[in-house]
Amino acid sequence: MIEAKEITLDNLLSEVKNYHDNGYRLVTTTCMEVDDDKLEILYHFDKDFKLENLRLTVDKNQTIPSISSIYFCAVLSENEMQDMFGLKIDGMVVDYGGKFLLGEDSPLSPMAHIQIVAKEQGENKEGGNNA
Amino acid sequence: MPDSNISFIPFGPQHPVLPEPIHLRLVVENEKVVEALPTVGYVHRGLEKMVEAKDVNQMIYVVERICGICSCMHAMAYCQGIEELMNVEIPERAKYLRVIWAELHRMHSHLLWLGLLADSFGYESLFMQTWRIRERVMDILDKTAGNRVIISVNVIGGVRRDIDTEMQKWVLQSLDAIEKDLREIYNVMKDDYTVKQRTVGVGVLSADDARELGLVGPMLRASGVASDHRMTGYAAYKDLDFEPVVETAGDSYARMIVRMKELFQSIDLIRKAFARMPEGDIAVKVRGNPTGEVISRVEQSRGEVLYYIKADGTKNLSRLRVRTPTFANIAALFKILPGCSLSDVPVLVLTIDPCISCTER
Amino acid sequence: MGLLDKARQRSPWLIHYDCGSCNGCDIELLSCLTPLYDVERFGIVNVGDPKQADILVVTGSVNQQNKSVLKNIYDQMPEPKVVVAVGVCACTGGIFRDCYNVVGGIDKVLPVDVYVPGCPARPEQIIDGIKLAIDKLAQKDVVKEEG
Repeated sequence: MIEAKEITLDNLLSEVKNYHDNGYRLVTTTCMEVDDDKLEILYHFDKDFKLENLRLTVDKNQTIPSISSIYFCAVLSENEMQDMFGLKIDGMVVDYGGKFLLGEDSPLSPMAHIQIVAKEQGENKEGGNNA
Repeated sequence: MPDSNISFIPFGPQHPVLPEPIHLRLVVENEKVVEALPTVGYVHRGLEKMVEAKDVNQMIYVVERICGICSCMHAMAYCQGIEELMNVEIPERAKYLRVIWAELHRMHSHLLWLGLLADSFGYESLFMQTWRIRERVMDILDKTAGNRVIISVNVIGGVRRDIDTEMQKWVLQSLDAIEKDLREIYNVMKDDYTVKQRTVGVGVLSADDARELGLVGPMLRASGVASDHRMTGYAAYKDLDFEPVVETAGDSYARMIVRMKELFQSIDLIRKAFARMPEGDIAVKVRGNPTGEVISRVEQSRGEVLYYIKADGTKNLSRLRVRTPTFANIAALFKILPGCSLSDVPVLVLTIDPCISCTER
Repeated sequence: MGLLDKARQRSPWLIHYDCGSCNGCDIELLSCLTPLYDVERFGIVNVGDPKQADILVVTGSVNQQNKSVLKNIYDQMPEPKVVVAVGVCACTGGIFRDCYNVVGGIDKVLPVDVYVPGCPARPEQIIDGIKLAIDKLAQKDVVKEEG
């Protein structure tokens, strides 16, 4: 298991700000599905080759605040999470509206509902019903 | 001034200087770019989701095809991650062989980029020259690994092929010839009037900007930050003493110099690796399936790549996340494009060494 | 055979579009244009404008977003034109066939004249494929004249 500090929605921004002020570089954010109604988001920060992680667990229908006002580069990975998992993110500096990587005809939030889509992949490209 | 001076110019996805599709929506006032919005998605396939259909070993071939240019280093990062999860210690010789192939990939990638940069400002003969040298590197890859581009040498537990003494001698001879040709090109490029006119002072990023934007690789090093993930000593890098190449100007010229110097550094590293490589096995047998989560990072030719791997003990991984270097570097476009002139846009897009198939996966 | 048809066969101009390729085939195609393989000896020139091109070389599989771009480029090319699919992804979808965002090989969108397999296709194979495409171009010229 990787070491990660558990955080909540309330102290997300203050924790991220803390890393920013201490000169950390935001590496990326990783989103994954825990179960049918929970998502887990990891924020990775780097300073002198040492990786620090924050772990945030949210409900799928919850809106999370964007950290792009602190780290501008977060817009890219936040837009990706919005595309892939249908995660709602509030206050992104640049919002592609769920069409950052996906095209008009692509399936919606394809990475969510992992097992269901895997079965449908063969005959039906419409898999990944939005949670 | 009336608003009529403002126009919108779409750049791409099909554009003569771009080998890959990226779309930029440029807002231009007269000749000056005021706003730029990169739009991607033309190469998005959805490879991260392939973990559900392919098992742990098959995924090596999938991650190699995230990007054909740095394929070897993608497989290396993935295999190192899985090996860490399964507590496998690979043989010393395999570590050196991985370094050798990774550095060869870095060389061909940088040469490719130099050629494309020269082409972007219309320096056709330099493009041809760099690609001529690159063919020698491709020959080495072809002879040692059996394929030119996607070489598939990495497996979980080691490497698939060995380089014997006779082959080593031939590789070293080729490297001597490459170095001689490179010196010539380097001397031309570093003082050439045309090159300097198009690159010096174009797209300047300070060290703080670079860190703020989360840039990686040569982009970060050209702005004066000595960050090279090879310094952490994964694979055999811990035994090959070297210093990261750093420039301080932070413009397109500095980024070009960093990449050129890294070419010589790679040649040096390959020579050292051949000299210090121990005899022995090249792979260990690995049984079972991985469990747990791990983050594996490797310095690719474009910068640091991050693999997040989560496994639950079945033959398929439960999550694979790849943060490729260009995905981080593309943030620089938001910063360096506004304020530049329209004719500099191709140079500035190429200066980040974009690899769109990496970015979108 | 008119002068224009002759010129077209002696010096066909190609345009390259990267659909959803991993770059492997793209860089091999570019290698063909450089000194070692040098397809310019067949009069082949790489152009950026579809309106000037005779041969469309496509690498990679079609995905949901670029299928319209590909169709658009093809429609802009003047007749007669041929399409070359380079690499196994362009032929059938290859390793990416099962991905959610991939439609399949480019023959789902365009009529393909020459298939060049390989992952990635080697420069020799690509040159061979383009040579075949030139022959097809000549056939299309004949058909056009007779019809």
